[in-house]
Amino acid sequence: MMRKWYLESGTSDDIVVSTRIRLARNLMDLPFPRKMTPEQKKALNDSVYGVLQNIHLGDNALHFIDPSQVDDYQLVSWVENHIISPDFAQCSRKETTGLILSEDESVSIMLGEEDCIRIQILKNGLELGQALELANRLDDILDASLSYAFDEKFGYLTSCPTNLGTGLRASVMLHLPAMEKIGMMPSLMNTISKLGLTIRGSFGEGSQARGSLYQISNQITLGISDENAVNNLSSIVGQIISQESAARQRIAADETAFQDKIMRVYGLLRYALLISEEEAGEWLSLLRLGVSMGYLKDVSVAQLNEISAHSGRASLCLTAAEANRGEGQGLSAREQDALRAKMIQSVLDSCARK
Amino acid sequence: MQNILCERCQERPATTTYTQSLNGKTTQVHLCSECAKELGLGGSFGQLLSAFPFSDLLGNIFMQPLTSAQRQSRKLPEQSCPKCHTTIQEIAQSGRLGCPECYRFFADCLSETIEKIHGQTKHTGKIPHSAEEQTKLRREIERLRETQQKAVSEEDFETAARLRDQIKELEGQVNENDA
Repeated sequence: MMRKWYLESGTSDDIVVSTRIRLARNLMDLPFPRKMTPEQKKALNDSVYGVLQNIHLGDNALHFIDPSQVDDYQLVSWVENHIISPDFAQCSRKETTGLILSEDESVSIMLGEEDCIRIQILKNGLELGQALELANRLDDILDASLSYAFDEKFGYLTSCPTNLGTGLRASVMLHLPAMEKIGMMPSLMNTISKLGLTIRGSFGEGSQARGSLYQISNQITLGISDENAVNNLSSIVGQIISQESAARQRIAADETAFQDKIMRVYGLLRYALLISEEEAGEWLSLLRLGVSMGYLKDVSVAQLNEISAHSGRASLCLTAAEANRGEGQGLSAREQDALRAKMIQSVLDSCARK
Repeated sequence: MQNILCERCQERPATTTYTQSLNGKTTQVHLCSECAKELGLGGSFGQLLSAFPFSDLLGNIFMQPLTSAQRQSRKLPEQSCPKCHTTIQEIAQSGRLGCPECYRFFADCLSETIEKIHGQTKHTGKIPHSAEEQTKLRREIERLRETQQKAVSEEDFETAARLRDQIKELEGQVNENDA
């Protein structure tokens, strides 16, 4: 099996957790999904599947998935790991949708969400250029066979006018514990909004910034080319990276006290028997900081990503079900906390043994 | 949550709180288990998903600029998109259009909102292959017009006349393609 995208190493991955590119597209002859009949939704799936059936992305095979046949825990686990949107999971339980997912889960194409087609590319670290290139490649393949809804003035036509123009949303997930600690976030948020960008919690609008994770993305899509939007985001992210690096040096001024705090958390993560989702988020954030400061030579960013990818509530239930070779099963809060602690311990143990 | 009524049916007591968020507006939505089920959020699936924000649960996101445009042109609210039958009220309520044709049909009503969101109303950047030829022609015409203006202001009337003929020819091509 191919390694998942988050296990690969990425540029600046001590501060940038991941990069995401999303393109919204609709078809000329079909209404937007909210106005589609079930037959039209099936026709949309068939036509997109037809175009992508024989496309090869190297070893990264594409899987064609009918979300109505997917286990609840698997679907929510994909939401937890940003592979599909909460809206897509929701509408997959009441109407026809389609999903195309690559083997490493870095490419996902959602059919029948808010727009007919949403192409999403996820990359580890700061990889805006690479991600945009891959999204464009898939977009060009679809464009060669399908008739996209397009207007010279408004660009690619989307269900919500906020996506008009390029239909591009480029997002970078940043880990900013030091800037948060020093109290630099309010002024950063203020500056960002003046630059045509938004900064939000890790699950976008309306979500909280858990574990000091912030998502920054372009807000304007009309009147700015895809390349310019990405370059603009990239240069701002570069500045935030240097500010966070400087802030990290500042908070580690009393090095022993700082290192002590991180090593204590490492001890908790390795030996605690019950770890809640909130504790995991908070402690892993500190551990991530410790790894980037070079205090924990055995632990890698990829291993932290692996822990994060498996510590959500649905992801844990899914792991438990896979272990029992059974259907997805509910776990009590206590069982989840115990399983989470065990999973974290086993990943950290494997790091220590190397 | 014992005393809170479901915001969708206004009848049964709410059991779960969800987050709805679009265009910077975040609200809490309280739903009963039956309404949650109708929205695709039944049982443990809905409970697990309640940790995440949704963009459209009740379909009542208010678009302020659109309603002001609505007030100005009293005729429009009567009409609905000839292709998907979406009305302007529906668009104002949900913040979403029904089909590509809606953009053409409601263009006058929408341009104010679109300009407010993006600060401009003219696409630049990538275009699909189907629109390539037309867009290239139109962009070329725009470019020639600018050059023509410049020639006129420099009193180079010979060049201006030549450019005018070129523009005419390209415009003919565009119209032919449109037809």
